[in-house]
Amino acid sequence: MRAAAAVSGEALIALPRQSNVALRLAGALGIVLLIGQAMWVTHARPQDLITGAAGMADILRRSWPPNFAAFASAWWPSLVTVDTAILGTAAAIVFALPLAVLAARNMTPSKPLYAIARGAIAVFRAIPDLVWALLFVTAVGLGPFAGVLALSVHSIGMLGRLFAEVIEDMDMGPVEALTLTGAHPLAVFTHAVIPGVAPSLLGIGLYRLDENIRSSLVLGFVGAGGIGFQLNTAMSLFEYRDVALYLIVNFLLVMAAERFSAALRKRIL
Amino acid sequence: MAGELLLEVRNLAMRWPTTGVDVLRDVNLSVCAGEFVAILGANGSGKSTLLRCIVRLLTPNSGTIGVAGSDLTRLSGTALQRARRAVAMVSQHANLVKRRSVISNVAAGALGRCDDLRSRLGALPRRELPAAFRHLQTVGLTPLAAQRAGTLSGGQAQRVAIARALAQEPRVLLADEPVASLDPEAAETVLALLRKLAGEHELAVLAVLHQPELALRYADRIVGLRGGAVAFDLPAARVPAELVTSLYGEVAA
Repeated sequence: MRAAAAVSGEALIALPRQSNVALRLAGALGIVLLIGQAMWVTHARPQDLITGAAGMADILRRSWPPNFAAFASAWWPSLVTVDTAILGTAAAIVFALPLAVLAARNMTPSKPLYAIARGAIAVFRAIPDLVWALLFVTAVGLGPFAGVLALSVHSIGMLGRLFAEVIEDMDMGPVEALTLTGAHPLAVFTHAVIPGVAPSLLGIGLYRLDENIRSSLVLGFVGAGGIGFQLNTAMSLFEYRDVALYLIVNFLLVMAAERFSAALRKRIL
Repeated sequence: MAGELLLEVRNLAMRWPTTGVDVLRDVNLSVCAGEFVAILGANGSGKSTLLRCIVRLLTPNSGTIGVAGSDLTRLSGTALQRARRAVAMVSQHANLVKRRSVISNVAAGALGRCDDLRSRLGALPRRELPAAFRHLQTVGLTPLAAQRAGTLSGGQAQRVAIARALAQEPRVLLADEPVASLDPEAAETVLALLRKLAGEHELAVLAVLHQPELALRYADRIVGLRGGAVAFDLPAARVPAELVTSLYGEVAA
């Protein structure tokens, strides 16, 4: 760390400032105040963890052993959860790509389109998928399709930004070379841009799929179907042995998704 | 040596819009079919700017650029896109699409000529593949056709870039420091290739070179640029050594 700072050269300027004791004290005080107000605002009382230990132990005892018989009612919702993520991610990739082209400084056809695309991406991203799900449940009714819509809209924002960054970072040499052959701009895009960025985009898309499977589990809590819905129902009915089984299924799903997407990404890159 | 006049630059002047510096002043130069002309000059003498003006990556302030009869300075949009096909350019970096095969990269040079919906959507013009193989043969790399372009050495990549330029079926071939990032042996191969192409393909070759020694050995004619103006324009055999060194001395002083 010190060696890295020393070679950067900026360290030479930063060193005298670091020795300023007053400044360091003020910084430390600032951090203490920041954490302190956060604890006060969130009613953080560590002693509650100790008094609550008995309650926790009770829940754990009541959820053991997991109700493996509930597995029969878990596999279909699991499929719904995974399919929600797959469809949501696929739709997001399809819509994020053109949006990213507009939102990449080196590719955008015009300044206003760039601004509009960046704005849309910011809005899609800033609103969490859970909130999108609430909105879509109101719009299209309870069920997994609301989840698909929620995941895809939020993912268009997330992917749009990452895709735009990949496009902005790409090597412009081939683009210039093909432009100079007199190729049509669309041909330049499909022959120089797409082959250059496709592996990165696919890798990012797979990573998104893995995240979306996790998100899709939670979306069930707000009525967007899937295993999350089962989990929420079991919780409300105090069926803790069912809850335990659903959590195990959740864990397996998430792990499988992570492994699958990591293995696939490794093959592409 | 009196082939058809293919590239004719007249009274070309260019001023950087941002700094107001005159990079090119009243440049006149012509290259005939079958001729290999090298441009020499110190850093900042306007060599690369001149080439980039000719392909209209930059727009000159005044003057004309005649390529096989049409004036590139007067064109824009689709007309420019069409006129550009007559001029191929090879840069210091090969600028290949690294994840595609060598033969695909060569065939992509034909995209300007073979413009249809299929090629715009990303398919390579299939009927150009035999020609692409021929061009690859010309640069001596047929065994590497199926290999990924990213796996090539610098010299090989530059030769593939030249094959791609040939697939464009140009009349004029521009080369912007084509050997600047190659080892000496690869540099010789690439220059010998350009020399050969000028003769066999009736191309007008105009190359910006950094090494005067190589330029004198391979080019028919040397154009010296100093401060954005043509300092001399002589057959390579009649360029005295002092004249070449004077190009570089000026800037150092």
